[in-house]
Amino acid sequence: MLKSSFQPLVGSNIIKRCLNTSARLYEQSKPSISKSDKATDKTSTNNSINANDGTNSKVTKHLDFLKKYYTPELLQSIQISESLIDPKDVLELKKRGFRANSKVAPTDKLSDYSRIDPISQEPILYPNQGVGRTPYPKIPDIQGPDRTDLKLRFKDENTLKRKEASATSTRKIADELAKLTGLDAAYIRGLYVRPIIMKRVSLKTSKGNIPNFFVLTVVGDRNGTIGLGIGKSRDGIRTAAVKAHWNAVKNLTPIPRYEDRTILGDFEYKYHAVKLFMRSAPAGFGLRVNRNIFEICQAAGIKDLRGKVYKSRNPLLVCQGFVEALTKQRSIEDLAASRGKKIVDLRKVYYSH
Amino acid sequence: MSLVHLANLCAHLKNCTNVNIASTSVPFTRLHLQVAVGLYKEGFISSLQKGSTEGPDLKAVDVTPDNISTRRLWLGLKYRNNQPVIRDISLISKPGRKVNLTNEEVKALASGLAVRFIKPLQPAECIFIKSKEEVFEIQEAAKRNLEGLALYRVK
Repeated sequence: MLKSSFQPLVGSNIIKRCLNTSARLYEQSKPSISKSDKATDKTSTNNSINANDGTNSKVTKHLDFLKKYYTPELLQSIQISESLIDPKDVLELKKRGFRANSKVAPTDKLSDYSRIDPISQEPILYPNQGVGRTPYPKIPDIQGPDRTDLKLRFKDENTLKRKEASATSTRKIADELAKLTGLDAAYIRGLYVRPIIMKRVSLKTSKGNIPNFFVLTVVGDRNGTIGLGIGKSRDGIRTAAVKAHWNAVKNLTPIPRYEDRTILGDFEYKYHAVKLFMRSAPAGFGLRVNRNIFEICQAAGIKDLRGKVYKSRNPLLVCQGFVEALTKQRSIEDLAASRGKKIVDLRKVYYSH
Repeated sequence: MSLVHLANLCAHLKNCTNVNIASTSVPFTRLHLQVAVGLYKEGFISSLQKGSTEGPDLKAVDVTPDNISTRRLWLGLKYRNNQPVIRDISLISKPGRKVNLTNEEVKALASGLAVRFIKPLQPAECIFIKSKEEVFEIQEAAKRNLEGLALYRVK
């Protein structure tokens, strides 16, 4: 019966080829037609195109229904493809739900299905892909079943612009600083950053006030390295903050700590009009200090400190003075060496071996 | 024993270290000698020599009533990495206020606690106590269970 319908159709090479192979397969599967009477699946018109068979009334009904919407050629191609599928597989697939993937083992052991055979397969040509032409958005390669509820998003100029703008603040800064300082980019990205002072200063001119933004940022790895950086900009506070971050990373310096938690001994340091009286504290004491000094200690990894700031408490000077004092600390080994004495850590000696 | 003379000594040493002078002379008195010996033992000064106003004596010279007025003590000052070893030297007992410490207080100070108005010992700092006409470093005084007059501190 079907043989009569296997006629070369108008135009299409693909369908011709399909028909050639399918005809062969149909011939092979002919004996199984009689066995497939029990096909209960509506969609499967497998081997049941026999109009004479009264038991496949459902199938014929469905076929008539489809005939209304599909061209005869299309119907044929559907039938051919469905003839190759075992109804059991379809049922199993349906049972596994909508996410199930059908597993079809390759029949040809010699062929590598990754390559496109130029004879049997036509190359896929998307229109408008020539050089210099406006490209179409990438056709998504979805392996799952058709999900029309999904929304496809394509990268357009606006999203690209937004992404680039945000990249300047973290990733780009880190990469460029890594080149400049020689530090690891990942290390720079993982630094603790804290803008301590963010204020708006004005430049007074004959024509009026010109606002300028000033940001002081402290940067540290919370483990004995800190950097203070000042950033100024007329554009806005964000630009100033970015500049400050940059300068702070450039100024990273190591600072000594006692037991990785507090300063070495006490110090009294005078920086301009700022008088710092800092005392080391026992473990668990916490940071009971000026708010600006607190931020610097957080960045540096100093966990216990007590101290007072006398006379001027100007935030900028306090920060600068404190950082300077920290760097000017002298270790006990250094002091012992200058006095010509040997220093022994009793804890190490006692608990060794 | 005069705290005024000791104050002068401390001030003079500070002044010298500020301008990186190699060696200085101080009046030759018993207290000065004890203090200088203490500093030398602790490594704050490099050398200690008897001498005259001209300079340190190359040969030993006896002190006689004739030359007593010209006798001086010469101290060699220490510097490392363009910084003086004696960063700070100051009195604890002032001429107007003497600080006599009990043996408990001496031990407390030696262990790093603050005693009365005396700030706690810092790393690489020394405090000298005068006990029975002899000057001891605070750690030694604590070990020997001494009490006395807190003279000065050096760091």
